[in-house]
Amino acid sequence: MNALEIKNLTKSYGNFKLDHLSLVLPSGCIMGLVGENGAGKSTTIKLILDMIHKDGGSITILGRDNEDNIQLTKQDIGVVMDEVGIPECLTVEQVGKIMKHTFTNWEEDTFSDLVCRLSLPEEKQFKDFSRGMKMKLGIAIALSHNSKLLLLDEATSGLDPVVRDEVVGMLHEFTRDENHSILISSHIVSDLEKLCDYIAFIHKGKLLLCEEKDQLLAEYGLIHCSKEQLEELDPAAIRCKKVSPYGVEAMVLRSRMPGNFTVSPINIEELFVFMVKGVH
Amino acid sequence: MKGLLLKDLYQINKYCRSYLLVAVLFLGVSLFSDNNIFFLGYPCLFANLLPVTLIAYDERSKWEQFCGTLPYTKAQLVSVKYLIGLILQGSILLLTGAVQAYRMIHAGTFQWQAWGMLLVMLFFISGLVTSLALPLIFKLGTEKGRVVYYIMVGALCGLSVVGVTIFKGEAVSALHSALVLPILCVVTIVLCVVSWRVSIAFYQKREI
Repeated sequence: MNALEIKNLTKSYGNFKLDHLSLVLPSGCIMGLVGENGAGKSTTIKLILDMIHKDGGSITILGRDNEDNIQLTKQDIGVVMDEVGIPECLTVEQVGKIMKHTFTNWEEDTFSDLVCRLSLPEEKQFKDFSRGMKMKLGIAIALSHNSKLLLLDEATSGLDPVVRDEVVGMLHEFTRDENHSILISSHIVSDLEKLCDYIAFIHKGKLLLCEEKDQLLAEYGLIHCSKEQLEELDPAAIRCKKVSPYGVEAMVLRSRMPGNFTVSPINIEELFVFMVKGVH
Repeated sequence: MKGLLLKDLYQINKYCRSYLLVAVLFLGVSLFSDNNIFFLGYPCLFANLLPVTLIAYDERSKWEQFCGTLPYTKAQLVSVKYLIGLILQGSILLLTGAVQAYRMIHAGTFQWQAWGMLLVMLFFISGLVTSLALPLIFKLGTEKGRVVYYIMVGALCGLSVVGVTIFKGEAVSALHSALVLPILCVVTIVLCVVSWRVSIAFYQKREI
């Protein structure tokens, strides 16, 4: 079973349009949603949760349509948005009590362990938390009710590198269960590169690609050459290029490159920047 | 919905304790005042507007968005505010009833009809205020909703003054009719139920 299936999802607001977005997240996998600000990542997550109304298309979460008894489906979903909207006067202990009456599968012991592990102060009010602490509390809630799917929208931003690494470890731990899946959007592409099995690129509301990360990295490479050398290559090998007075940098399909050319490995961040900013 | 209720109770305990104390103090003062409409009306008015205050706090902390990720329906989010209003108004009305009964008995002026009329009028005014305020807040948000609400209350007060001036005799005799108490009670309950359904319909259309 797929954890998430999105088909032809559309949503328009003023100048922005999420345009026939389709993607599939298989169970047990982590998918990274990469896109610049305003590309449509948060809109996609809000549409999945039925927080905003879609104009068209369909969304299936854990085998159920997202408009069919969504509150039941949400029992199985852990969500961390870019801002954790917990009332300012509440303490961690009070939040735990509220969540105990919110989720049928709430695990008090897991929550206490996570609060301890993430060094969250139990007596402090939420308004006195730093941004990093707020995100950590959001993550602790999302991981404490036996969720099968995590939806994380910029959940690692604002965390220092040590905590980010710990959170990445926790997410890896979460997906050890083959029924657990994660859809994560982040600007910190290095985190996604560490975590994800699948990568989806969104640009101006359109899905540029959605592929297995390892396949993407194996499929594409980087070359540095002169304009003349580039012209000698098979045009089908060149996906995007950046031309400067010092030469050309191009993202190429390794399989179409001649054997005498040195093709360097490409990382996800370079891949994304090329696809968005490079000349096709 | 228990979690939502618990969260609102924590917030009332934190932010509204002083208002509750003032309300109780006003009721206490009403014991020693002959013309005590202000001291009786204030606690009720305060209890009515408390759900609006809670919604304003929710908006500020982005609780609505966070709640959209939790297993609650929009109807539950709306209903909990009505429930909080009902609990607070019920408590304040009971307290007012007890205080006024004591005052009347102590002064030797206790009459069932006068006592009942006072409570029903307070119940009606409370119900009217809540029924008008909450749908506007759920439709427009707290900032715009409050402005529209104050304009509507002003217009209603103006209309009431004009109505009473024109139909003074009929209004006084209508208030003494035996039917007025049950009619006002039913009207208030119907107003609240209609307001609750309208608020749910408004909120369901809102994108959070």
